[in-house]
Amino acid sequence: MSEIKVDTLTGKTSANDITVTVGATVTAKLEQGLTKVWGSYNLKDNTAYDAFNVSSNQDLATGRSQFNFTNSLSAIDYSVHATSRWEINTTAHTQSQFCSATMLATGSVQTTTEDNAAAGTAEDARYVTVSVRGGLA
Amino acid sequence: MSELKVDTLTASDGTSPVTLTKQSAAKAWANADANAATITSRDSLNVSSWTDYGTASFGVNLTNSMANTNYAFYGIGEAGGPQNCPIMAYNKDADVKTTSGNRWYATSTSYTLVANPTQASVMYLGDLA
Repeated sequence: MSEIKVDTLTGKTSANDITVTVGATVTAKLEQGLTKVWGSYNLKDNTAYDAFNVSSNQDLATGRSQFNFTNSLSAIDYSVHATSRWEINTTAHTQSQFCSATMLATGSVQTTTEDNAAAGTAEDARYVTVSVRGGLA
Repeated sequence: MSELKVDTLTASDGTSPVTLTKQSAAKAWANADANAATITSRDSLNVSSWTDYGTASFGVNLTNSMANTNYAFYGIGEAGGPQNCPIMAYNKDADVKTTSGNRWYATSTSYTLVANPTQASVMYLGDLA
């Protein structure tokens, strides 16, 4: 096995275009598979546990938050995922909560969270994650 | 700091996948209007097509198959605004999860079937064949 130790990988022809072998014979562009935005948040007090490429988060209403990207996506057609948990540091499955991503924009995305025990009731969560895949502008 | 400028990275044996230390890239993802008459990706990686099973159900077909059926997959949807977000569910007892894709169901938070989401996002993590 060989190993290259390097701090930065840049496409030689195009800066963001590096082809890697990802299966037995399948190749893909490295940039396409990388997550462009991710973060985990406490939306009860609107603080970030950790985040990447998120400049700020806004509390829009109970159960609704907006995450503003540091570097924008190139289009609103990106793939986004979000999950939530009402409470953290508990194993109780009753703490689960419905969460979805909505209002996709190139510079931001919103999440909506609802109480599973009272379907449709908006509720803030103490643990929300969000992630985005797509092309950066 | 060192920088490597390269167009193609391949494992030294010429066939194996390249290992990214402590990192893993998504092997497939897509965004589509799953409620359209014909479902097509707005943007995607490694998704060849979508199958429309009618109201509340649709499938995703991968271009390059996963190595096995143990992959992780995620789906999330919106059907028109922040208060209208169906759950994208998977029924492991009734549905076929193959190396080349899977079938999704759209449900409400009270688990009744609803119209397919107009903003459907899917993601697949694992090893490609």
